[in-house]
Amino acid sequence: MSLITPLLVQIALTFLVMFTLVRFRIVEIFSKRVNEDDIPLRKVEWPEKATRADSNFLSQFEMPVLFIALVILQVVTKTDDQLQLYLAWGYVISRILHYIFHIFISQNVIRTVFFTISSFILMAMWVRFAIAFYA
Amino acid sequence: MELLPPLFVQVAITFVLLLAMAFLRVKSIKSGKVKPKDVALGQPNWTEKATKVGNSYHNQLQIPVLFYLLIVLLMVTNLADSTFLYCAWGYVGLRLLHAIIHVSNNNILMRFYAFAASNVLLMVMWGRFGLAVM
Repeated sequence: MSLITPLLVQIALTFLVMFTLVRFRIVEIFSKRVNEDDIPLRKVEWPEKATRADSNFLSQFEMPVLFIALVILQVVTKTDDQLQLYLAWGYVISRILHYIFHIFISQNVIRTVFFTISSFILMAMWVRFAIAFYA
Repeated sequence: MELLPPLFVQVAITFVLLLAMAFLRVKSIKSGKVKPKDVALGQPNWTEKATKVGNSYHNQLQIPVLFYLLIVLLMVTNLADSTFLYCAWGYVGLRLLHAIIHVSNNNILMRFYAFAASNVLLMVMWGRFGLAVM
């Protein structure tokens, strides 16, 4: 198995968050609780779950971008190994838990713990890649 | 492969800002300056220092993504040369300058010049890559 598999899971997570966000917003739009004309002007006070889903969706285009870049670079340079694969799985799993605790179980401290874990895993992966490059 | 060192530096800038942001945010919560409920939904209520560092961190995940993409494409297409390497170092140097301005005195005009210069350089790199593949 290559690093591409956990990468695909991260991509799937991104789409899942997108659908989560759309679901929480569509309910509001169909029930006429929000004025459609206000949406493009960002004047809508979305309910908490929709706001949380929006934050989480945007966060998928922050740190995970460095994960995607790392996987591509390691595949291209053929520098990945077994430990890097385990780390990649650890990264993606902690991102999934971050998603769950961000939107469905509104626990900001636990969510931040998973974000921190994922960030340290990613940092370790970049350091290992740099070491493999300079070695 | 020779284009990786400047890319590593750009990644390092991002992680350093992330750590600094996390440190400043935790500090502002622990000292009681910021209440968790005032920031938990992404409201802009962090302390000034944490906001500056946070803005700079988020900025690292916008245009620099096009830098990563270009480096990957240059490696895959074997089009990397010393001109691209100098440009890549120039880009990362300007991004570092931009980040330092952002988190220190945050002079908007100076910040803009550093930001604009980095983007012009990146555009030139993309243009040169575009010409090379056509």
